[in-house]
Amino acid sequence: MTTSSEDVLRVVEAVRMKKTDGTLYMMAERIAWMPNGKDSFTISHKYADIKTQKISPEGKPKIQLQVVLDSGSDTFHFVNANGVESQLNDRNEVKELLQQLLPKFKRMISKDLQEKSRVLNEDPELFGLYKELVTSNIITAEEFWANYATNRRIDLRDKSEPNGQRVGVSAAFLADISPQVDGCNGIKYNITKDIIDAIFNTYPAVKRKHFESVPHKVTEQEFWQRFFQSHYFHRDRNSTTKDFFNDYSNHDIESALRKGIIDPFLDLSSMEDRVIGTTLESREDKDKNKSDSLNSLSNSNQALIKRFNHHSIRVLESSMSRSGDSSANPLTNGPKDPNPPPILNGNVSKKAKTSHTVTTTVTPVIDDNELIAVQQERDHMKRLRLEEKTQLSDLEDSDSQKVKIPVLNIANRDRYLAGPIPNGDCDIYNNSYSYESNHNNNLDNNMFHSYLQIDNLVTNWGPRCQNALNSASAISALSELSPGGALMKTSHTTNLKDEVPLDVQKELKNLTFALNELLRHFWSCFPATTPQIEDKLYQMKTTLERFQYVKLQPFHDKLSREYHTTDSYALWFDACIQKQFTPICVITRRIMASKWLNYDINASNMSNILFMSEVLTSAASQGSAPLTTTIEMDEEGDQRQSLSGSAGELTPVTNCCLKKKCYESVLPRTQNDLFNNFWRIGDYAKQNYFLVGLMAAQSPKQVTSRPLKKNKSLSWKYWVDIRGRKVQVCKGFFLAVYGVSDKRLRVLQTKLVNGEPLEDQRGKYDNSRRANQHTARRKHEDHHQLDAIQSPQSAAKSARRSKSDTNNMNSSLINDNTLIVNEIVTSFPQNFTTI
Amino acid sequence: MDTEEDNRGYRWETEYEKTWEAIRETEDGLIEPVVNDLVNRAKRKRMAGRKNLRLGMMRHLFIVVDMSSAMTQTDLRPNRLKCTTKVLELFVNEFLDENPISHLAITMTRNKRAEKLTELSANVKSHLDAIHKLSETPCLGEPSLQNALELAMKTLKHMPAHTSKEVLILMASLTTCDPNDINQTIESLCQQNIRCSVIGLAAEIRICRFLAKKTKGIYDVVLDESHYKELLFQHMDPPASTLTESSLMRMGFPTYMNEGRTHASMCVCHLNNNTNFSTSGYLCPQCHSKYCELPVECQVCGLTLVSPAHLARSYHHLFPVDMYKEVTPEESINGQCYGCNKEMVSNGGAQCEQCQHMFCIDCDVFIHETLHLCPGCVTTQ
Repeated sequence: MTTSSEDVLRVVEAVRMKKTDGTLYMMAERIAWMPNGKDSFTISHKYADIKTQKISPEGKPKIQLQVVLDSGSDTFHFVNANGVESQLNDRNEVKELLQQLLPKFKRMISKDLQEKSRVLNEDPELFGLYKELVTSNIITAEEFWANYATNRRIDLRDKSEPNGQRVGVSAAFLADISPQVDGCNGIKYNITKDIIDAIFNTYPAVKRKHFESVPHKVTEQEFWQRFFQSHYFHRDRNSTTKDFFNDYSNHDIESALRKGIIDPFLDLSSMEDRVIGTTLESREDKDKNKSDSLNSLSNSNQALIKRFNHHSIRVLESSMSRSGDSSANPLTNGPKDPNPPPILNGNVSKKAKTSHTVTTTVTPVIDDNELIAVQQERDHMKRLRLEEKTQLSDLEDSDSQKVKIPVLNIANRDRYLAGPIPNGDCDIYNNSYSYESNHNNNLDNNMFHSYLQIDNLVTNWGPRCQNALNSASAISALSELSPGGALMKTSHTTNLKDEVPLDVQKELKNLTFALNELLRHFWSCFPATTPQIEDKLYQMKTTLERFQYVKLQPFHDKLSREYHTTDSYALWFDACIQKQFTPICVITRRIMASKWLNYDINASNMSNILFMSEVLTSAASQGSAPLTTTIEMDEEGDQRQSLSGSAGELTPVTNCCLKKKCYESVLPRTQNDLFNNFWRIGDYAKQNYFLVGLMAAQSPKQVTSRPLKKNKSLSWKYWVDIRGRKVQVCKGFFLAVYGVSDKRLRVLQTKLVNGEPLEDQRGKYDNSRRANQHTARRKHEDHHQLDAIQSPQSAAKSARRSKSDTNNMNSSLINDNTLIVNEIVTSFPQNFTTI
Repeated sequence: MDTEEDNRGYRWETEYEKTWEAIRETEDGLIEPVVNDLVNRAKRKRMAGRKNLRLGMMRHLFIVVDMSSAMTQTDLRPNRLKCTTKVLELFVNEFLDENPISHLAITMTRNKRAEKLTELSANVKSHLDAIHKLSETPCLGEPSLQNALELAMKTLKHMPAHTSKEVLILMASLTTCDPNDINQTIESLCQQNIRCSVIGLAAEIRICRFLAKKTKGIYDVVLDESHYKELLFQHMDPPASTLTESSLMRMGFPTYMNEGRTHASMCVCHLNNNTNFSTSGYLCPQCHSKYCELPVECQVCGLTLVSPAHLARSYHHLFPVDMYKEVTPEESINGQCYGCNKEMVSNGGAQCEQCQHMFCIDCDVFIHETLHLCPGCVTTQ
């Protein structure tokens, strides 16, 4: 029945659900219902998803139980054939079981939620991101926690690390607790958490005792009081009965010595406890007194030394034990040795545990295998120690070191010191640079000529003061040209912080932050080498688009609405709005900039991405490889074209205005790109926004006394956007290159001036104007695809239209790809450098 | 150690106040050249033999300052801390100037803990601020070598392999108090290829020597203030790289966008506080994110953004000017310095072996320290 090995807690038969009889199963983690005669669950809810349960009131004919979920509810109707009593029984059994189970899972969720809300509270940035992305459904909450929050959380942990850093035990920690005399024959100790930690780490027995007896048996204060009493007062007295901390002192030097002393330079057996100043003459005295005074002295000395040793061993072991922990920790890369070898340490050495009580007779009781292992370990350490002692750095062969350093051979030093010299016939698309072999000659020639020229200038130079300005105008010119002057506008930067309203800034900031986060994930997908990454790329692309649609557009609209309706529009537009407005354009453009990569995704052209990433990562040395691929891609393009018929192309603009001759400054190929880029936008409203971003109204040049006529008196400037570079063009060229009608532009401008939204209004008018609109639409159909709202009669047409649009897109994609590859190949000399 | 330093005797024998005794007048009554000569002799020594080496020019350096109670000792005047901050300020300035595509971070260790003061960045101002703050921080407890190293390692291990990852520890204490086995930390530092150098302010410590030796760093103990500076400044030059294969890396060269040339936007680097919301800044050529200063790694698309000048300025490490041949006073007498056109003073000069031009000692130092180009060779090329 149940396919998995889940625990079935209860099975209730005869449960009706939407007028179908079935069986209700209650498993360990979910509740499920299976209709009779089938072998799979049609309904299955995890307990964690269930919010509450409801039961039908007593006395109602239908005995029902409802489980309420986030996404709705399900009602189970209990229809036991044995009558109402058993129906009620069934229901109550289920109810009670649910009552037991639900809180368990609820707590699990709430713990998770608590953790999350804590993270969000601690990190306002992350919270902002959460608000931007999750609440607007751009990404799901799971995705957010899985991808976006992880880095943050790790960062967070890093930040809190200084407080959470593990701390070593200082050897002098007990001596550092300086007691204060309180005046009435008592001593006051101030202990901090650090000291307590140190004590606990050094003496685990104390920790155990603390855990056992505080606060049940003794108070915290009393505990530490007893500790210090034991440590300083009882230490030399053998009053074992009174000592609270008696048991820990039993571990002694002998136990620590089991491992033996590895240092070959230390012979413990030769050591002897001797009183300073003992000479041969006093030998007799000593012998005499040996029996009584010295003996007691040496006894107390021994005890003291014993205590010192004990303390040192404890301190050392406290760090040893923890290093054992950390070696099991996957974070440290060290070998997982459960039994770390004794450490040779020059500062605090184990060899300090010298005592004349030690004799070689102390032999631990261990079995043979262990003995051998210990022996090997000892030998190893011995060898290391010997090596260290006998090798002197001064005597080492210095040559052997130097061989290891790799030598750098630079063939052509000039390539590092002189920049690449562009070939004579370079344009923006074919920017080939070369390091010509004869460039030195060229350079010398040039240098020589320029030298002659300068020489000529210098010898023939004489002051010609008749053309000089008088001092007053010179000063005014100077002031104009110094920072802040009228002619130096471009050199100073205005900070928009003070000009733009704070709430707008704040929102913009949040948007930028969220966008940065999304783009970071987008860019991290390159190079896309595995299908998983490719999938993520798709996902990121859609996420970005959603972001643009859900977040950027409304903000854009809001800005244009709020600031266009003001009366002093002409002034505002230039001074302020454009500046506020354009950040959005920039953001959009940043999205657009990432679009050339998106086209790859559109075509699901994995191989291209792969290849491009190869091109990016591999050296530029094989010039032939990129070439062959461009050919391949061209072929691919041909295939597509032949498959799908003719593609829309722009005939190069060859005529616009007399003054600027825009068609000369923008190459036909670029024109084609511009055209394609524009029509690839697809959505009519988005196209409008794109166009609006490329034009701006100017306040009229002549100041007239007449009141401004709306729309008419404004002159407009137009730009085309060639990969982020804005080139101003005339209106004629602008219209031609984007293939938009004059009317569309006029409508757009009117909307802009009146502050109306730029969305498509076509087809939304009442019937009386519909006929007019319809003809207007016909005109547009040549260029753009229709959006969702369209009349049925044009549906067929638009289907054809959209098909050819995709063709258009494919062909432009191919163009784009070849272009990109070309670009990458040509940009190698600039973008790559050896370090 | 230098023999001349040894001859001067111990710190407590030669009073600090009597340093002028070491300086004698030349025959012409000039003092400065003699002092410079003393200072620069050591520099010459270390510059010799640095040619045709593959260098790790893109550096990520963590400076760890010991802020334990040992830092308050006054064997360096006025005390170790003040002396350290003073020298460090000079170092940070010079370091970011000489290594324009490198990054610094400053951390301190005290009270058995390590604390990060600045993140890895090339921003001189933030580092100087941190150092300034450091000189007012109280020195407490014991240092923890291990915690400091772990802290540095946590960041450095994410750095790409072609960069040189370095830690420089200024250690005043004679002990370190570590939570667990430092040998394991050293082991993992070796694996990560992180180079650890230590400058001791007190005496040689075994664990520091061990650390430096294992990780191919340098360990030195200072003698006095000027020696301290010298030792610190020897970390100015990028270390030889151990990487044998070449790797190409992508770099972007953004140009500065000024008023009117681009749209207003917010910079990525200061989004958290004090946002630069204006029309000026550097735009990443790949993803159009804006940054206030270079060099920086684009936070959005990961492209390294530098200015060509940064790269060009780093190249002098690759092509150091050959050491000039020292010339005896007799040979150089009556000659003119090719650099400054002054008469050569009697204590000799230097001659470029390639272009055979003579230079006075001042110019020699200037050329090798600052200019990194031989004026003689450049004009005759």
